[in-house]
Amino acid sequence: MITFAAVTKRFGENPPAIEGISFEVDKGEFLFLTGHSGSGKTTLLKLLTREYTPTSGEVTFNGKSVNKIRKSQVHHHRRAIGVVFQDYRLLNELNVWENIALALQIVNKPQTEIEERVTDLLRLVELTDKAYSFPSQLSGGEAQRVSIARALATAPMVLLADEPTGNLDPQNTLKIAQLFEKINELGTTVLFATHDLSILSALKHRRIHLEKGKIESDTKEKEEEPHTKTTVQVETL
Amino acid sequence: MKHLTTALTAIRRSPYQTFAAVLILSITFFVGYCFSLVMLGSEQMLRYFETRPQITAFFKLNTDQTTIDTLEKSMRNKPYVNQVNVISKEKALEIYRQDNKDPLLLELVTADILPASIEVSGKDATSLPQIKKDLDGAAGVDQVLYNQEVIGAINKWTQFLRNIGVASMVILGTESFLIIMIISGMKVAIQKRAIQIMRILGASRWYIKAPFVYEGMIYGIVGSLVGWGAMYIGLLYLTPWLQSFHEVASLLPVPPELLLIQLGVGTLIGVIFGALTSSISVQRMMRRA
Repeated sequence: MITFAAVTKRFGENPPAIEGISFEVDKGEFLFLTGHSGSGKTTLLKLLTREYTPTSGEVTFNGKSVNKIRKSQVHHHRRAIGVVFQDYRLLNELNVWENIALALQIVNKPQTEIEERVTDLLRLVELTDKAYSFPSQLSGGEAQRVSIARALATAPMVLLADEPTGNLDPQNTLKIAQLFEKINELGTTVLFATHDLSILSALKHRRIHLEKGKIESDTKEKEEEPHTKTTVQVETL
Repeated sequence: MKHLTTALTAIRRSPYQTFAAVLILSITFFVGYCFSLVMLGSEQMLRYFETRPQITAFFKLNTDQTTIDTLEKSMRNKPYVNQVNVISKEKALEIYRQDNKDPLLLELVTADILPASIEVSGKDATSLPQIKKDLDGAAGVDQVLYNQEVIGAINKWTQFLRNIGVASMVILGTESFLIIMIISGMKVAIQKRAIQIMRILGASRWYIKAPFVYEGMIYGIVGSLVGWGAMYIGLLYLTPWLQSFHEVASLLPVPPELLLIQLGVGTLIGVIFGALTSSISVQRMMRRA
């Protein structure tokens, strides 16, 4: 479903943010992207949403080259991807309901469908009673759940999460992690960038560990110990 | 409809920016409407002035009446001649007496010593040199007087007025363009975070641009209507005074259909101008967002 083939992204004359990255993600898979700050996790996700274009290599999504999507068509590509950020990125002037509905209004869904879908999503993230609260009235965990509901509003094929628990306490972190697990079980592919060890120990999924913009290890299956880079390359071959 | 509602909300939330944009556009349109009226009327006014100057040919003292009548008839038949007026020796004396009240002088001057003359006006300024040429070559004509400088001066002043109008429009148009750009830019900058979020959510460029474009269009429409209204009130107020000028009176009152066409064209320009300016501004800011 998602393929990175020898992808390198360089910003100006600086050392590459990611270099020679190659991996594949299957439909319905849950993938952790791990690594220290600056290891290239966010760059990798932004390449997938076409916020960045690779300096070399190719990113494909659902069989289509992301690099070749015309600027005027990028929004169609992004509608198939839900994104959750560490800082929630909710619109402060809109309440919880409106924030979730915004994603559906953007894709021109009829009002009846919007109402139905937002109600379902609020139920999924257990925030029905907060529908008319504004982001400033929510806790970090609640705000992040709203952000997840919004990302899921258009029923994306894949959900990207960029350090979604970075601002949360351990209890909320676990709740959010379990929510992602539930979403994945419902069939959505999840790419989860984190360096939170508590999540990694709680959820046993494939992990790609990045180090200075390169893949350091990739566990291909659940419960497996990380393979070394050499092992991954051999397996790919 | 949703974009229009968003635009109206944005206008309501920033009344001072809206006031500044509408004020400057209203001034621009007011000047534009006034200038277009002057331009529409100026051709007719110029024509009026062009037919005023005359070429006067004085006959030799011994020229007989038949020669004068022949020339008068010949000039009347010319297609480029507007009016012909013959001043006989007796009429010339009468004019002289009206202009000069000195009894001693009046006693000395008789009709015999005054030449008869013929005054010829053309249909426009370009025909005057030809009329002069015709009179120069005519029998019995002693001297031809042709005040070429008057025509030159009229043309010069008309051109000057046109240049002033065009310069004002260019300056005010540029000023309006920049002010709407700045206001739209400020609004887009305030919304930068929201724009980034909407783009990630898959909003098309038009979805993001539309409220700003609608807002610019509203500025254009309101600016045009206020500018036209001010011009119309001014026109109504000045009409009695303008009618006292013989040369302008024929142009008044301005036909209502002309005013409506002017309003329609102006408002269309306002809509396009507002939409285009906002669009350029949003496009620039979106590239940076």
